[in-house]
Amino acid sequence: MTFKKKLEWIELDKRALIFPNKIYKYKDLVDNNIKINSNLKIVISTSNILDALKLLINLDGKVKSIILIPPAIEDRIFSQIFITSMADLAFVDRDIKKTNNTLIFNDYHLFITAISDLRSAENFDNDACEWFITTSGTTGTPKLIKHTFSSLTKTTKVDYKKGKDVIWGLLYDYTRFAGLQVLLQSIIGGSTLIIPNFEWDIINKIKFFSKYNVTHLSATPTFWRKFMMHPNLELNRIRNITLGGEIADQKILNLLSKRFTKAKIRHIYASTEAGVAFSVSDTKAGFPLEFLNNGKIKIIDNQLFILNSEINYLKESKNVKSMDQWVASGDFVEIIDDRVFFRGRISGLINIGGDKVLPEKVEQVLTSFKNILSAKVYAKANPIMGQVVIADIILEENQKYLNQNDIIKNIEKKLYTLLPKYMIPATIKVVRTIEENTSGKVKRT
Amino acid sequence: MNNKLKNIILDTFKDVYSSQNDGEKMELIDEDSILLESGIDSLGFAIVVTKLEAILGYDPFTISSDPYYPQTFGEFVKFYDKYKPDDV
Repeated sequence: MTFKKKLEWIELDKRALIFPNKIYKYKDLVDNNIKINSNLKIVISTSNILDALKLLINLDGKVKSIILIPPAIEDRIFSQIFITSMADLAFVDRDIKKTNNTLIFNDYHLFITAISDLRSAENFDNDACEWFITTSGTTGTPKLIKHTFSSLTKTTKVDYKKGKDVIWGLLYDYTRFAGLQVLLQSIIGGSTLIIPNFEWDIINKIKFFSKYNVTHLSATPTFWRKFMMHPNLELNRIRNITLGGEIADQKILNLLSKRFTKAKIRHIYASTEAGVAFSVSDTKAGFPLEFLNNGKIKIIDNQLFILNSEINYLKESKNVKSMDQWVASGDFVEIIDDRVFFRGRISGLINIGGDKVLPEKVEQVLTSFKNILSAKVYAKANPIMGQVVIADIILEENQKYLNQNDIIKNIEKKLYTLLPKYMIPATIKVVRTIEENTSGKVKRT
Repeated sequence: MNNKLKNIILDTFKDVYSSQNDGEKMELIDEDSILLESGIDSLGFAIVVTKLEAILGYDPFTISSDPYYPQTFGEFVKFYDKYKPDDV
């Protein structure tokens, strides 16, 4: 079923998008001026979410593929992806030179006039319209990952009765997987999506969400920890909390349960490549060992593998991984009794003279301390061992007036009882903030 | 020898030795004590150097262009003294 068809039941007068200065209803998303049935590849790269959404709704099923490129990405990387996409038409914010015979437009009306003017030999009705989404990957240049509207909404709930009372908050770029999931869930559910100015700080975003009574919010554990640092910020109507993108440790799950006693809290394991693999709603970190019985995931040498049929790739791209049945997720896991815990990205392993350290594992141990709210563990060059592990920590509010040297000494002492020597940070520094990237995850090199 | 610097270094040696050896106190060392026999292994020394950089603000191993590894405690302190930036 196409995106447009999926929206047929929604009341046109219902509010769909709420921006700081404008409110749009579902009827504003319909654009009957878009007439197309053509085997075309289209790039969408605009920060105008309304225009982008109109195009997604009205082009899905009518074109061969839609390629979403983050509007804020730097020019050099944008060009690389743009050229790889081999698009026929592009709707973009930025000024770019014509390449590959792609027709480029900055103006929405000119764009839809152009696509409507194009004629193709036959009618083209395509339930498998490709949606390409970028992922940052670990090697720098983003890869294009192929999905369809259907694969992107495989875990999206549609319940008219419930959806109309749901109010979602958008925190992330709609062209990337996490933001797109929220956008699609909100629109397909007939809910209202609150969209703050992306440049605002967390306090102003939360205030905006609060003003419009947001009930559902999905964010990284890093975001939720930042939120917990502001006890005066309110989200009184929140009843559904999702954590994703990073490891959800027991500490943050506990803090959120305590703060939002009536909310449903779940953490999801998802990636741009695999989509949403599974979600966990028992407010415990990790996932039950029995999830391995679903046949879609397995563990080999402490790494989580996902069944290939669950993964999407740009087949023509040189970035295609092996077509073996099981695909390495890159995530290191540890099984303890009947539970599987995520311990970190294998690519982030720090080598200390032959011993390997997973920074996230050490971070989890640090945040399990009552007085530590969040931590970042990373490598520092060292003349003797090549590298050592060091840590930045953010202390709980009530610790800020105590002697920091004593606090650190006590933490170090305790760490020696919990971790092998080579995993213990050589120095621990108390900081006020930990830098994050545009996806709301802790920034690692 | 710069006594203040020596004491900072000695205290750091003692702390790291103690942490790495279940709280045991380090035996007394003097200028001629051989570092490799102090009971601190290479990981321990890596930690000492990192901690000293955080306390003193510099790392002589990085500043000095020659690959030099002090053998005794006295040489270690002299090495730190030699590359001490003027404002420390």
